[in-house]
Amino acid sequence: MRKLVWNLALVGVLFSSAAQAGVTEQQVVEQYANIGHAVYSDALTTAKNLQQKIDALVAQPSVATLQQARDAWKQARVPYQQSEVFRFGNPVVDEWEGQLNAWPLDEGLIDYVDASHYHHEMGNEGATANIIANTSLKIGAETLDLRNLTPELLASLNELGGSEANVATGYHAIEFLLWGQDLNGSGPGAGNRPYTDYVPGKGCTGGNCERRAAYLKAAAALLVSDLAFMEQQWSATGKDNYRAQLLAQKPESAMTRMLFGMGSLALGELAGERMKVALEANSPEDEHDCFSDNTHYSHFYNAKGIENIYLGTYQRIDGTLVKGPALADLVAAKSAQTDAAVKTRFTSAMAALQKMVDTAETAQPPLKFDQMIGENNTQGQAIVRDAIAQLVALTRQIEAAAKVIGIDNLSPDTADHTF
Amino acid sequence: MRVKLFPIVIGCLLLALSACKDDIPEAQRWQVTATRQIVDDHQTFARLAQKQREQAESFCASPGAHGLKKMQMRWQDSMDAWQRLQWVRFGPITRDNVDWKLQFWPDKKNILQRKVQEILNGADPITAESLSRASVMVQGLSAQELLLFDPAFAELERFKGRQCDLLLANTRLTARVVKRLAEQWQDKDWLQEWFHPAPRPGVTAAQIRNGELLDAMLTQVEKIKLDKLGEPLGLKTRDKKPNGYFAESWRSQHSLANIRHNLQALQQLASPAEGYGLFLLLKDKQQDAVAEELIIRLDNVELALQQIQLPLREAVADASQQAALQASHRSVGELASFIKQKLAPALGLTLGFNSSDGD
Repeated sequence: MRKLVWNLALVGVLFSSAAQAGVTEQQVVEQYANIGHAVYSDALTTAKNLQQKIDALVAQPSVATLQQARDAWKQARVPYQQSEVFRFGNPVVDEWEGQLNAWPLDEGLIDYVDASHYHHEMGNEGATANIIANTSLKIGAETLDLRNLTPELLASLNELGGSEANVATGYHAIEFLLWGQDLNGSGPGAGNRPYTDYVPGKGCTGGNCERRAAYLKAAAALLVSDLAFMEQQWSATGKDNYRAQLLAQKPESAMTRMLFGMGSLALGELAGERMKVALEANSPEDEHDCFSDNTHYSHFYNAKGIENIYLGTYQRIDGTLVKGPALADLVAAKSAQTDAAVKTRFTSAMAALQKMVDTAETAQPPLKFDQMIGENNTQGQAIVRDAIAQLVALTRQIEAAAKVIGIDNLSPDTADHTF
Repeated sequence: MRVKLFPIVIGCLLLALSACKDDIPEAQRWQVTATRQIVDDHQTFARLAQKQREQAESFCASPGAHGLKKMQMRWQDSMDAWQRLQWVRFGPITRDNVDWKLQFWPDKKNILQRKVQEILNGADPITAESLSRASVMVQGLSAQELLLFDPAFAELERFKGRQCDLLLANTRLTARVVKRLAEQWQDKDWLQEWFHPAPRPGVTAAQIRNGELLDAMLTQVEKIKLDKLGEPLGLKTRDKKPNGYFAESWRSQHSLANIRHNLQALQQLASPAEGYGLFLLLKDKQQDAVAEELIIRLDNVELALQQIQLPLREAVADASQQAALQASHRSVGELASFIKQKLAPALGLTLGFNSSDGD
C-alpha cells in the first residue's frame, strides 16, 4: 500500500522537475519551510489523535482501547520520523527535540520494571525511581513532590539527577506506558503491558493504575503542546518565528542547513547511532523503538524524510502531496548526471529500508529489528548492514550534489562513526 | 631497525610512483613523517598485543597472583599503544569496524558485563573464531579490562574455568586483528593510495592528505574534550552532575593515562624526534607565531592533566580536584579552538564543521 503511494509520489516529482526548471534558491528554501510546516502540522494532528485514544483508554481500559492507542502511537510516528531531517542544522528543532524523542531511556524512572531484564545507566540515581509508584522522590539532598503529575512536572524531571537516560516525556515514554518492557531480547515479541495496568480500583495490575493513567495523559498533553509550538515556528502566518529567520538568511546558508540535516540524519544518526551500534554490539538495548518493535517503520520514515527534502515533496497524512521547487531542480540545472545519481541512491536506500519493513511486517513469521541484530542472525544482519551501506553511499552522493550547487563546506555529523 | 627501514620503503615507493628522489615536495614532507609514526605505532601495538597473548597462555596454564598482575601490566601496555593510535581515523581502521573490535566505548549501561556473563554461563566452546562472530563488545581491550580489573571478575578462582578460555580467545583474536591492521599499513597498494589520493579540482593531493591528518587530530582533541573529560564531568547534561562510570577505562583507573597517550601522539606529530613535524612545516610557511603556539597549547594540556591527583573516576566526585579538572577541560578546549581557528588557516586548509561546533 505504502509502496504504491511512493511510486505515485515519484511520478509527481519527475513531472515537477521538468515543469519547474529554472527555480531559484530562495524558492527551494521556501519549499523546505513549507514541508517543515506540513510535517509538523501532521505530527500535531496525529499527536492529538493519540491523545484522544489515550483518553479513551483511561476512561475505559480494555484490550480494544489499548490497541487503538498503540495504533495511534504508530501513526503519530509516521510524520514525526519524517520531521527529524529538520533536527540537525535547525537550532530551534535541535534544542527542542530532546523532550519529544530522547532515547534510550532508563524506563525504571517512570514505572515498574522486571529487574532481571533491566539494564540502566551506571551511576543513574533515578534509574529505579518509579515516579508512578512514588509521590515523593529524594535525589541527592533534594526531595521532589510528585503528587500532582502535570506536564510541567514531567518536563522538569527529564535528565533528573544529571542523567540523560532519565527521560520522563515524549514518544518513547508514552511507548513504554503503552507497551511495557520488551522482555524477549532478540527473540520474537514486543512489550506486552496488559490493559489492566490502567484499570482503576480492584482490577488494577502493576499497582497505582490511577497515577499511571495520570502520567500517560500528562505525557500526551505535553507532546501535543510541544508540537503545537513547533508547528507555529514553521507557519507562514506566524511572525518573528523560525521560518521568518530562515527565509531572511542568505539562501546558501539556509541550504547548508538543509543539506547538513539530510546528511547528518542519514549518516551519523540513522546509519550510526540507530543501526550500527545496535548491529555490531548485538544489543537490543540500543534499539530505537524498543518497547513497541516499531523500529523498522521509524527508520523507514527517517529516510523518507531525507528524500522529501531533496525532492521538495511531502505526502501528507490526508494523502495530499505538498510539492514545489526542490534541491533536485537546482542540482539538475547544474548537472543532470549528478541529480540522476542522487535519485538512484535514494531509490536504493529506500528499497533497502523497504526490505527491512517487509521483513518485519510479513505474516510468516516476521523478523523485527531486535531479532535482525541478534547474534548469529545472518539473514537479519544482512538486511541491516545493507541499509547502513546504502545510507552511507547516499550521504556521499548528497555531499557531491551539495558541491555541485556550491555548498562546499559540508561535513555531515557522523556522530563519530567511521564507515 | 624498523625505524631505519621505513624511509627506504617510503622512498622507494615514492620513487616508483613519481619523479621523486630526495626532494619530497615540501607540503608532503609532514605526511611522510606522520605516516612513519603511524606505521611504527601499529607495529608496536602488534608486538604488545602478541606479548599479551603469550602472557595469557602462560597465566592460564597456571593462574596465580603474580601472573594476574603481569596480565594487568600487559593490558596497560596494549591500551597505551592503542591510545597512541586512536587519533588515526582513516585507512584500514575504518574497514570492518576494526576500531570497535579493539575497543568498544562508551558503554553507559554496562551491557559488556551482561554479554560477558552470558558467554561464561554458556556451554559452547569459546575460541577466537567464535568470539570474532560475537558482539564487538566482548572482543578487544574493554572486555579484557573487565576480566582483569573488575572486582566481580578478577579473582584467581574464576580464571580456572571458562573465564580463562575467554581471556585466551580474546587475546588471540586481538593480537590477530592488530597484526592484520599493522600489515595493512605496510601494504604497498594502500600506501600508494594514501600518498596519491584521487585529485579534486583546485586541491592538491598533499592538501587532501594534510587536511585529513589535521581533521583526525582535531577529532581526537574534541573526543578528549567532549567524551573523555566532558562525559564524566557531566558537562553534557542539564544538571552538570559528574558520573565517574562515564570515564574511559574506569575499571583499571587508566582514564588519564589514556588521554596522556592520545596527547603524546599529537605532540609527536607536531615535533617528532626525527623527521619533519607540523612545527617545521609552519616555520617553513613563515607561520612562526602559530608554530610556537601549537607547542604551547599541547604542553598546556599536559601540564593541566598533571595537576589531577586522583584517578578520573574518583576525581570528578572530589571537590579538591575540581579546579584541576576544569583547567584540563579548558586547556583541551583551547587546543581545539586553536586548531580550527589558527592552525588550519595557517596551513591553508579548511576543516568541515561537525556536531561539536558551538559547544
